[in-house]
Amino acid sequence: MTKKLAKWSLKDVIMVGITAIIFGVIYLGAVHLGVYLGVLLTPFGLAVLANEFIFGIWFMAAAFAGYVIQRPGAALITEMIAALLEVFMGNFYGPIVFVSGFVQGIGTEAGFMSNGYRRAGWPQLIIGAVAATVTSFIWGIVRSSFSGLQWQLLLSIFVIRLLSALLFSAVLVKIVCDRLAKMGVLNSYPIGTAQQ
Amino acid sequence: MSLQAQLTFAVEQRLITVDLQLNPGEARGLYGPSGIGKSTLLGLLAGQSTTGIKQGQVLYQGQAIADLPANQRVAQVSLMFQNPDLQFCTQTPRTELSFCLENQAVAPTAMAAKVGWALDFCGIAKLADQPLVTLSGGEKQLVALACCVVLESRYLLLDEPFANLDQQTSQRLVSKLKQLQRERQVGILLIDHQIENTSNWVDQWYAFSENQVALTTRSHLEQQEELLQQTLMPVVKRSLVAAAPVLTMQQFSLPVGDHRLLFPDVTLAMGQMIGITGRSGLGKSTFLKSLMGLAPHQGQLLINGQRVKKCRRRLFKQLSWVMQNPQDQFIAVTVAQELANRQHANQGVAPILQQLGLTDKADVSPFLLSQGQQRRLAVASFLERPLTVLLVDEPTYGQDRANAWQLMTMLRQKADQQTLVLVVSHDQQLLRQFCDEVWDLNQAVEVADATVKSNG
Amino acid sequence: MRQLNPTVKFSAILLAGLIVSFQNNLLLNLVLLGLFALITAVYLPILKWLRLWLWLSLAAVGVFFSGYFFLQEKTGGGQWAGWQLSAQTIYGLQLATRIYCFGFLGASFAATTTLTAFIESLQQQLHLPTQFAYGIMAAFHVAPLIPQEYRQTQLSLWSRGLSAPWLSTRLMTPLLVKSVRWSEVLATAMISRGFTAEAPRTHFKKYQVQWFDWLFFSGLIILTIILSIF
Repeated sequence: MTKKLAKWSLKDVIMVGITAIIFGVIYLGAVHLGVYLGVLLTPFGLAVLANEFIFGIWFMAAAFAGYVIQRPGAALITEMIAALLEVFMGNFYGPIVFVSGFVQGIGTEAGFMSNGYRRAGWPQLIIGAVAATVTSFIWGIVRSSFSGLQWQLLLSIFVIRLLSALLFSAVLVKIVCDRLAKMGVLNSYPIGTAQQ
Repeated sequence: MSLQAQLTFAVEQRLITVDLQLNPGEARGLYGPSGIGKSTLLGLLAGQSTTGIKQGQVLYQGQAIADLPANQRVAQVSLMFQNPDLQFCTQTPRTELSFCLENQAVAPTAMAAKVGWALDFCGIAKLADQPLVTLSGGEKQLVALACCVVLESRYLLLDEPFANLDQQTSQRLVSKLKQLQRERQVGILLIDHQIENTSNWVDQWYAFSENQVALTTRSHLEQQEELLQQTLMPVVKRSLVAAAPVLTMQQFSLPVGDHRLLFPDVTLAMGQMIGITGRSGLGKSTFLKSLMGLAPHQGQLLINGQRVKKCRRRLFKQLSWVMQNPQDQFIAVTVAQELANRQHANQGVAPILQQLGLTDKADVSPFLLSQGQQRRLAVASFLERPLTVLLVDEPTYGQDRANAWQLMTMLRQKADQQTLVLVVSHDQQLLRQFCDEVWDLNQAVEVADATVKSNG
Repeated sequence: MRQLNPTVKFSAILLAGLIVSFQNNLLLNLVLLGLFALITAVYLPILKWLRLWLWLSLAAVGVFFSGYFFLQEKTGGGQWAGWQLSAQTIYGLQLATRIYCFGFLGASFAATTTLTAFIESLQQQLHLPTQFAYGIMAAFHVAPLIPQEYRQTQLSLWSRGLSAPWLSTRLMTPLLVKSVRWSEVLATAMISRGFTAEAPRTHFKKYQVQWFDWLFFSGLIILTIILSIF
């Protein structure tokens, strides 16, 4: 692990850190929406669904880093950094967020691991999104003790989260990264050199 | 015993040869338009990389800087950058200076004294424990200087240190630099586009041309500027036809920091080009922002017959803002697409590309152009959009005379197509040549009363 | 709390949170909730503390009703502290108190620890590589620029006659361009101040693990374990 960490340059760390914050700010824009939606859904007992629609934004930093840096551990480490920054930017759940970050990062990482960290493309991002949905879902059940809920509700949570993950952390990340690579902004990263 | 560099290095397929020498206690400047290779050279002199060096090396006291690891290079040379927001990694000036010393593996017991001394030297001891994000641009630059001071480097390289500062703060920074040069025999090399910032101080300048860097003097640079001026194409200003008013200001005033800007009552019409000038930090950019509802104003302001209160998308239906940094505005993947601006007619783009001298760059990313090209592209990308008002912030910053001329010509043409163009620039001479009117904000200042001050 | 070693504090709270996660223990939730609500009350200004209650309550009430309506096995119920409660209510309460419990555990950490202190301590106690330590710090400290940059990008798109809906790639692209550019500028600045990941460095502020750190850690963990068993 330490060997893998040593390969990271200062620049890479700052880049994924800022990226994580950017996605965090974008997410915050949605949180207000989520709160209102949650309040609206509360009388029906469906408040737990409100956040699921935007859940995929959580995986974006990891998918972005994995896709751009294409190196073992990139997705996982980025998601952990994102969690750490989030704790200090006012997520009041504190240290427990770190576990969520780890679990989500592992999921996304699985996608890039699937082809041995060679060139990443659609399959890797999609596998990552699905795996992150699964891992975060399992952890969510443990963390929030949802095991007693009716299976219909759990299934809705899973499906909505999966769709959200595919939209945000696969489709959106792919489009944005490919665009950045074409713009020549990522020339110092593996994805940039692959595009040329 | 000095900094010596005899180099040939590459900048965007150009090779530049330089023979530079700087002695301890000496101050010299680097001069030339943006994108010519000044910052690249500064990076090479600091030993940050060697990529691009085709021949030669950089020596400090006879030792090659490239052979040293970063923590040892600092004893010889440290750098200060243009953007005050992107230089720090910790929370307060004190911790930032400690970070510098920790990099040098200085004993923790010796740190407090060194940090205190450096903060004192720069006159920012009372800011020591304030969060860096709360400091002004000028204060941040003084903290950056304090970092260089605490590291006790023999040479100091500065990349446009005054770019974001007002005149008063610039002078404060200059006096600290002079003191450092005189008392501690530090050698100073700085990049600046405005040689006025360092008048009465730096007289020796290395001037860049396409392939060479030559040592010259301040007075010579000034003469050259004047000569070049005479060779440029004369400007044709169209006489105004009576046109519809688009911007009305009545009893308009603007609180800026500790002062207030008072404007006369005016009505501006399409087809006019107005230049706005004044000292740095006086509120030129704030004025533009207030027109978009981004800064609060007092009095009445009408654009296209509507009151401007808050910044809303509606306002931008017939108004555009050309920002100072062209990179803030690029949205497309290629130069041609940037100009096409959603219209798919690529053939319509060809003549503009030719006018910009970018025909061979049509399929290149805007981010890969040189700085001068980026600026021309950014301005050109607005010309096709039908507008009643165009606001332009420092379009010619860092450009050489010929490029500046071309940019202003494009803006004048836009004005002639029935647009009101407002241009902010520090270059009064240029404004007078192209604009129908030039407003000097130095004359609009009213020293504030206490109530305004407390708001600032 | 402020005097505690950040790494130890973090681990203790994390571990306690995990123990809470893996069971449905109303009593444990309530005790930790009460204890840490008190602790945060000491460190947070009263208004912030009340706001925390409000935010947590919004989430907790939502979760309560989810649990109440969608419990799989609705039969049963029981006595709790002398009250007769239905199974639905108990399950709903278990879910809701857990939200408060996590919230106050987390807030007690965030309110008494700065990022700088935590990262310094991670370096000294857990040997976090230096480029991560200072890279994360640098990213954190440019965070205030990002909302401004978001606005600026929006205006720049409007100026081109384009709309800039939230979450569009059009809006996201320029922001990510910035993150790449900024990381280059910041890294250069830090390296020019002598930063290298390889060289040994000293630390102005020493973070050590002392007896009261162990006391806090073992105290909290033993408390949660005891409450878990009974």
